[in-house]
Amino acid sequence: MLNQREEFILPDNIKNNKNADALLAEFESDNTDIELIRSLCSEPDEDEAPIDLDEQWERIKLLALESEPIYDLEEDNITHISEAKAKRKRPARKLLVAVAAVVVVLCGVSIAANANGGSLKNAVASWTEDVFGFSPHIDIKDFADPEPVIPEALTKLAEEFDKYGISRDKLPKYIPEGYEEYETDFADLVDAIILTTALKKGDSMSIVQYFLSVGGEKTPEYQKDDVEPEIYSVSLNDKTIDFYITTNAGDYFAVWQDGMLEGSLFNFESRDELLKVIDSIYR
Amino acid sequence: MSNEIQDNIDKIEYLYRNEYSAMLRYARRVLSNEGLAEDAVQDTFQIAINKPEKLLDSPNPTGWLYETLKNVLMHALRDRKKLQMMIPEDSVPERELSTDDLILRLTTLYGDDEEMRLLIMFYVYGYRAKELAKMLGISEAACKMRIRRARAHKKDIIER
Repeated sequence: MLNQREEFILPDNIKNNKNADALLAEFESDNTDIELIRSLCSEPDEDEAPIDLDEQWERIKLLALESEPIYDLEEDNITHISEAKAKRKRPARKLLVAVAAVVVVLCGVSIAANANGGSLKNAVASWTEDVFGFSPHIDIKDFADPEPVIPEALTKLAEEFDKYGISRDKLPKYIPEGYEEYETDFADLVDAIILTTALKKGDSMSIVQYFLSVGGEKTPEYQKDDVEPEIYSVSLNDKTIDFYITTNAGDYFAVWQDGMLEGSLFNFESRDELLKVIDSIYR
Repeated sequence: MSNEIQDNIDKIEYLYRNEYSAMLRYARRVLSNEGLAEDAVQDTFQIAINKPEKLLDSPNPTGWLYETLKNVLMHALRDRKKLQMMIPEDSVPERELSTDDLILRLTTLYGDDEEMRLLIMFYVYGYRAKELAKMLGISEAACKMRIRRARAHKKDIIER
């Protein structure tokens, strides 16, 4: 039984604060008068509990690491007065909501310690009954091969690759017949960049996603069915890439690591189709 | 963590230590709601940490922070107002109502719609994300993600 809530109604001293009108007028104006806000809000309210700035800062940092803010500046069309022109419209935030069903969290470095799975070759993979993930990787390798032919549906994703200096050869050159780009999105997080394209064919949707770690401390985890991942190795000139293939809710997905880049292919109807896509990467 | 990221975090922390208290009081007075105010200010700094270049490249980082807070507050007010309108007047609980009774009442109103219950408790009754997280047995971060997701799912209601 939880305790009765005490702060349901604010103390009168806040509601009746003599500066309330001035503050509300400021709030309603288009301009932000910092000096006015500071001067009106510099003194603690009568019943104000002391603020533990250290504790609060630690919480904020942790929240920033583990979650996204409730309000998305761009999704909500929250426009900064000074940034209205520079703002880049994010076309597909909702895509990440869809992907969230598969990608559980960006988590810290403790995955391997908690998992039942094994460590294989150059990537440390680990899994439990219901999630799969790689440990953080700090090997940087780049990326300058002749430009490969990218399927039209992945053109926008390829352009995002260009912006971040990632070689296009890490993209699939084949996607199953009839699939078209549904939406492409990117999320620029503190320690990582996530690039995603959703492919659609009728009611079917597959997802191609890349997670580029720029801090080396976060890795994704993926929901999976209670089956052991199959390891499908692809030999290249100078290295071997292990693709971990498994299912989530019966749909096939594959995850692999290549240096700081982690790729994933979600929601493929058959293993054969998924393998064709995998085989087209690095070709 | 790379030096650049740590450097950005340090700069944001400097602003945080100078501005947090005033920002929180501003939010409390605008929203007249402790929990919502605290989460709004937290959210503002979370946005800053997630998009440090926007804050730190701004010619006036402090101004950017307050502008962001103002925008967050506007959205919080809008969401709360819309959700308040969805509660039949006679079902708004008195301050004496226990949390369990409140949940029971919201369940009567919204059945299995957990997202709506979550949004009402957060926006209308001013429960902090960390309090809701405790009730749900999840982390505060996970709770915030649920609120974020619930907002997205109920966009048609909130933005109507």
